[in-house]
Amino acid sequence: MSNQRYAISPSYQRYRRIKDLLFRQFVRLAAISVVLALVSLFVFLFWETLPLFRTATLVDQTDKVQTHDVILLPRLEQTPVKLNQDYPLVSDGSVWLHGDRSIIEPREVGLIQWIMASTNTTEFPMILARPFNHFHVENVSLLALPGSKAFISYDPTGLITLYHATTGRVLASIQSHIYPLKEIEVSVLGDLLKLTGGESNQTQWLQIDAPHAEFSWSILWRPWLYEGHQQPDFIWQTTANTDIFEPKFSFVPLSIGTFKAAFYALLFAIPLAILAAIYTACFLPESARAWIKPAVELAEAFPTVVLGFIAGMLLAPLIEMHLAMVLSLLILTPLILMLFYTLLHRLFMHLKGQSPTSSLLLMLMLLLLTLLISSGLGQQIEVFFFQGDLVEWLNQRGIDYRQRNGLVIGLVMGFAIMPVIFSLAEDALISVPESLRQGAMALGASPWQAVVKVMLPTAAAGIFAAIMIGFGRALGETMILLMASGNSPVSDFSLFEGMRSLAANLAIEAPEAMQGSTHYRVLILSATLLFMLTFLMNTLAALVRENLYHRYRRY
Amino acid sequence: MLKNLVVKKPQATQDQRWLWLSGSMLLICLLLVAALLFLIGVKGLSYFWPSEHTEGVWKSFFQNIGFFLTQAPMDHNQSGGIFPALFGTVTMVLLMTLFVTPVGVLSAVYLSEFATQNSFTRLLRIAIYNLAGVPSIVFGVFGLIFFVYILGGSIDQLFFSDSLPTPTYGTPGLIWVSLTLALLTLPVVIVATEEGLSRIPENYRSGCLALGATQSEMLWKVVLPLTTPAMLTGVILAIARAAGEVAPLMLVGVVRSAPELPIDSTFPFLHLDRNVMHLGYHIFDLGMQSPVGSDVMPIVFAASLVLITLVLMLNLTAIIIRQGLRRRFHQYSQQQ
Amino acid sequence: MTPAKIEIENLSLKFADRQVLNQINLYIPANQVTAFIGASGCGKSTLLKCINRLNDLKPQCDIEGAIRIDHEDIYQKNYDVTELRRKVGMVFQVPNPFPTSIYENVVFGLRLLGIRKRHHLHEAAEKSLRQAALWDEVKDQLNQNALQLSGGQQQRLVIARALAVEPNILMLDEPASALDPISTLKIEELITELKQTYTILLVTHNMHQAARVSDFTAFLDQGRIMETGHTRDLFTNPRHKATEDYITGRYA
Repeated sequence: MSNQRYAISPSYQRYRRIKDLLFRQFVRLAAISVVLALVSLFVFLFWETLPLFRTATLVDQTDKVQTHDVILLPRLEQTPVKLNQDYPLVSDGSVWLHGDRSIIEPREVGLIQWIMASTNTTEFPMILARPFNHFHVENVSLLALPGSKAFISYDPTGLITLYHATTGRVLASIQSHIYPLKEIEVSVLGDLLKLTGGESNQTQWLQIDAPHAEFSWSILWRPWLYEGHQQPDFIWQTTANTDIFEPKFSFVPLSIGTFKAAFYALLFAIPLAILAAIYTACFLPESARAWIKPAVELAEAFPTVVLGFIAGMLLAPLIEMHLAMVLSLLILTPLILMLFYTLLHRLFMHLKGQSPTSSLLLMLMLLLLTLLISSGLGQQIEVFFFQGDLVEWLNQRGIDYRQRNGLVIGLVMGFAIMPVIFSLAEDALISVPESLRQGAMALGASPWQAVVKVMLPTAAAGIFAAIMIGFGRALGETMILLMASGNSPVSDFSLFEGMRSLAANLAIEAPEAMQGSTHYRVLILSATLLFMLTFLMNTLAALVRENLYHRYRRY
Repeated sequence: MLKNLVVKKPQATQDQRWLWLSGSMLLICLLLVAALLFLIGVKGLSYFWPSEHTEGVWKSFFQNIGFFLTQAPMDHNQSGGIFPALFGTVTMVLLMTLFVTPVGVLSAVYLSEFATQNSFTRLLRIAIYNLAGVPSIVFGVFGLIFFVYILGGSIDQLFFSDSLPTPTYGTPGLIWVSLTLALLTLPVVIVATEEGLSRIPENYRSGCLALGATQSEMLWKVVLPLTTPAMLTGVILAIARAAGEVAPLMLVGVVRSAPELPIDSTFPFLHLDRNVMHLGYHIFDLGMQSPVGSDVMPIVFAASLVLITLVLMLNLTAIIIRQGLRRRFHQYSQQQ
Repeated sequence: MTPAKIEIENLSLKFADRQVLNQINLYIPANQVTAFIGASGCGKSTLLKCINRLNDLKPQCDIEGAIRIDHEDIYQKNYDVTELRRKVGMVFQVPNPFPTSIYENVVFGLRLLGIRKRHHLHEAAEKSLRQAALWDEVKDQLNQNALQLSGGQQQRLVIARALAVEPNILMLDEPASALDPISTLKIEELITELKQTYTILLVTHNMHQAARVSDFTAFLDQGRIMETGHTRDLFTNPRHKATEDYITGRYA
């Protein structure tokens, strides 16, 4: 039976099928490209850091080296240290490392490094820096390599070992077939060794392949002793104008700077955002909520470069001038507000019955009054207790005050992450089923009790996720820190001290780092760490949120 | 006996205090936003306000704004206009939109319409969503490694080997800026589109399929047209985010002062390899790296005002579209 | 004896680990109304969706057995599903007109088939709207948004939309459950009218509706066919205790 009037052309049907197929493939292609982008993001960041962890090698290149192309370093320039009264500690056979700021000395117990503990070379400067693992020290000769803090040791048996002085590591070791090994010379570029010795004056060429010898994992995280310093310290310093400079890669000051900035920002943002979210979600009528929430979220749209500019150029000098006022605004405002509200409540019990919006107006007036009072109080406190200048008072007590400091960053970055936390926390609270709150109120809980006892615990995971995401934002925020933190890589948690974060450090140094250099790769390593840190944190937050969603879907 | 059961008054007082305190915190948030807007608005506009009070005060005010928006910077960016920066921002963002929209929309379609919902897609979705929280500077570093050095380096090897060692594409430039921004804003587009797709009632889909439509016809004729506002929201939010972003761009091709615009009348008209100026970077550079003693605050505020106006307008558009969307779907669900 | 339109043989369906349909064997005659009754979740709608293969896209859906329409197995390899769905129209429980004009809704399926000629589309739209008894109500407002129609009108519009592609079989999944009594009555009249031209499958919760409209009835319980037969016989003289309990409303 057929009641069809229109003949359906098979070719058109085929055309539809092909179109469908093509579209599906196209969509799949887009998805695959996104997956590829994701994977390549992971892979290439890791890939570029991998050479840092490759072990160095000494390779026999006797057949390949074009001897006439190699310029050897004149022996005269490799000055062994003479025993003299300037350096009575140092024995014969020691060598100066590149830059003439530290000495490697062979002893019975092994090799040790002496460094100048001060940049001033006229005073007696040498201190014991570190020993090197070495088990064969008889008749050992040393040779410093040009252009880096690496050196080699060799003995007549032909055992050649490559060290890096700063990291204290044995990089590589090789047994030469020449016996007895008399002498080793090095090329001016520091990449080739010429070995001579043996009965018939044989030569052997070794290539040094140690592009990232100055890097080690422990140098990133442990206090380290560098030339010109008296004790181990966490230092990040990658460039200087002298060529004898040794780069100092410690992630500690950068990490401290990152976490310090994020911590102060959270300190400011969490109470503000969470309390505001509670009020918005639980006490505002839907009509007011509809415009107040987007209004707060508008803060998220401010480009951080503008916030950074305001923080660095406007706020930082202002805060320096009125430090006491700012601090009292931050600390006293909530206290005075509480006081006010207690008084008000005692005096006008009938206010309880007013609608939240009209009491918002009242709150606004009270708030403005409180702000006035606490700023005025701040000025008075400064005059009475701190001789009229808090910054000066702090300086006298040995507390360093920088204009661009943790306080400025905390305030401005706190403002920048506040909308994120607010928005997500509000979402978590509003998705708590209304029935739960009404249940609590039916049992006689006051509105605030219902919120604290029922809604907050229910939304706790969501609020936690909101804070985590805010924290992740703060860790990765770049422009505000770049413009208002002073960018000094100090390891200091003080509120009044500057800092340099991992992200800001990348913005400063990555454009200038030479591609493929150790500095470049260490920077990428820091980016990878930052990436993993924030990614893990966000994943945690996402899982928490998803759990929450599954838990409350049944309501 | 009964006295013990009377509700304690102080408890209620304490409650009310906390309630009010939370309200005050909300007010502080709002005040901060308002104060910031006010500050930038006033400081920015006062840059354009003519100094002497003549008759045509409004006319010269608008003339100043026009001049600022259309003229090139002078005197090391410290006076003159911001046209190249504005032009650069718009060009790179439009180019980014060209990359991010099809990929973002189509992969959202894949995720929510085609892919089987298993633990892999769940992980993928979480990973994509989390990309939004990865610091933008990391994208900048990735862009520098992957786009500039690896991709650009290979392009140079293949097509521009004559001019090596001077790099053509193996150096920061417009195309890499746009690609980095596209990667950065991909999650924004995907999330918004997926949200839009999930709002389309399931029975539209089955109704369409039951009429004999193929899956792609169902998407093209019914589902995607209804999702357009959501996609638009996503793209606008992506543009807003990209326009305000600075940190990653410093690594992949934004400069203080570019001699040429990225689009001009010489072949091939759109110069993907050129360095560009960017409004956000302009602000950073002027604010932070001007010679000591020069008073750049007014012009930076003026540039900030332009940037913020741009970004806020985009965001407001997105909010309005989204509100309209919610209302519309509310209507659908009431109808049914 | 009318020729069999649909034969279902040993059909079983699993969602994940849940057995939804279990060894269904059924013989659905042409040009008749066959009603499916049974409690919620017994698999009636799923069975309908097997007949136009709408379950295909559901994840973790496992189908065994065979369904033959006019002796052609629809689950065979390379079977054109879009063609099948055109031949087997379906109307859902909730009216689901697309948020476009009434006219565009009706000609939607025809446009898919590549029919572009204006007069063909107009003709078909009018014909199917008349068939769905909606023409007189909407003929002056064909460009109006379909969502502005009432629920009953929307449901008839959806029926018209399904009829426009000229199916052989029309499946109605509780078409009147979301409608008021007057609209329900109209739909029921429509069904009686349409069985002249189509084989109609009707899922319903409403015993009276099944009794009023259908020629044959199948009673499903927990994924199995408990009883089939002429509606008159089944309602007056059920063979199974479960059937009797259900149709008299004593079903637990």
